[in-house]
Amino acid sequence: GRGQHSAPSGSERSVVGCNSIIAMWYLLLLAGLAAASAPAPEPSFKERRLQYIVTNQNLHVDKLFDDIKSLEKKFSKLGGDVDLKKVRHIKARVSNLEGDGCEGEHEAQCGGDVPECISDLFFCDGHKDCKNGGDEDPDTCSEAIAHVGSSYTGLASWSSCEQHQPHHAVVVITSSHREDDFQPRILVKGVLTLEVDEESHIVKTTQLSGYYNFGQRELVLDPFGEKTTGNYGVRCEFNLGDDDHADCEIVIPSSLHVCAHFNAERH
Amino acid sequence: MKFLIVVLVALASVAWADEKCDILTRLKFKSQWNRAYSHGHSREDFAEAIWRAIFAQAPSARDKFKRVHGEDTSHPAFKAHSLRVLAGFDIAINLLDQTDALKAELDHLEEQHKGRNIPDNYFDAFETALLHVAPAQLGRCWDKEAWKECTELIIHGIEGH
Repeated sequence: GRGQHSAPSGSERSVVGCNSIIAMWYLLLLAGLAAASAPAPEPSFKERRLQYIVTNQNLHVDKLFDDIKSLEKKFSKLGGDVDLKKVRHIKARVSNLEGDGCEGEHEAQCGGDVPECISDLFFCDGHKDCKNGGDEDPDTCSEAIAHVGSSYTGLASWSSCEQHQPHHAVVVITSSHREDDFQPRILVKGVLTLEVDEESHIVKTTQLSGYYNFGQRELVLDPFGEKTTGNYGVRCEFNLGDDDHADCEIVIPSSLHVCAHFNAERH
Repeated sequence: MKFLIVVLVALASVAWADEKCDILTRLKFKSQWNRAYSHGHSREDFAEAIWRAIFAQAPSARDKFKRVHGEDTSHPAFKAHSLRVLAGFDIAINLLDQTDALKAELDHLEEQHKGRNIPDNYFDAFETALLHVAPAQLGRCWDKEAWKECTELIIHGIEGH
């Protein structure tokens, strides 16, 4: 402060003000020193009692917290809710056993509360044919199953046609296309791979061509092309309530005679 | 001599391949058609699916079918019409191996279509629709080339050119 007031422009008034501020700081400093040297006052009995009660209450809350924790532990040991996927699978299996009540080869169920069958030539063609619109439902018309790159794998067990031990079978979708004027099918091409011998890694592959049928939720693939080494077709029914699991058969294309069976899962 | 035989065989096979919808193809088409044509409800649905596919390609073709309610393919009048069309097609296919009778049927159908000013592309739409719906209806064992060749033979007969 001093340097500022040594300036020639300093007036009488400001010099007085400055002096009084310095005096005040000095007094404050003295008071602070006095306070520091004095002993802290004992808390009164009343205050201690209050502290006692507060501490007590906190301990009480802590105990409740522990009780709740052990209750939660007990509860978690009771087993969780059932996985929604599992529920869907079970519902699908039950409804498979119930049957859909559709008679004709080409009829499929509309779903919903009131049973109704319509031709699978009318599913997902943009025209509502079911009374409840079930044939144009976005879930029903999901193209996910026939997406290029989709692959379905399972352990094939042969009941006729070949003498193979159970081995892996893989179906891979390599192309898919939907005609503008006829939407109820997705035309697909794919490859069937049979890992016949695990030791020598002999793999049989068959080029496939076929379609996905929205109404029946069925993927139908037959051998195609000249470079084919096998002569089997594949039929997969996605009847487990989602797009990731199917019930597949390896068949002789001409007669649809079932040679082998595998439960396929998307990979 | 050997060379001559090779040339003759080559010529013969070219001539064979050149004939579209030959007799064996006709028999194949006929038997596959009978499976696809089906019966009862399934036949009605097959017919309707074909007509939906036709109108999807050529929406203006509906105007030709005002008299039979072409605006709604599930209208009873239109269903009856579409079944009549397939019935005519069925007769033609079943006569594919009896040339004279086939000629008479195609002439009859040509007569029925004359004067209706049906553009060629509507017939093309019919062919395309049939070739898209048939494999869906058959599910297996279908020869696209056979269907194409023999359907074109019938359609050309109805068009008259």
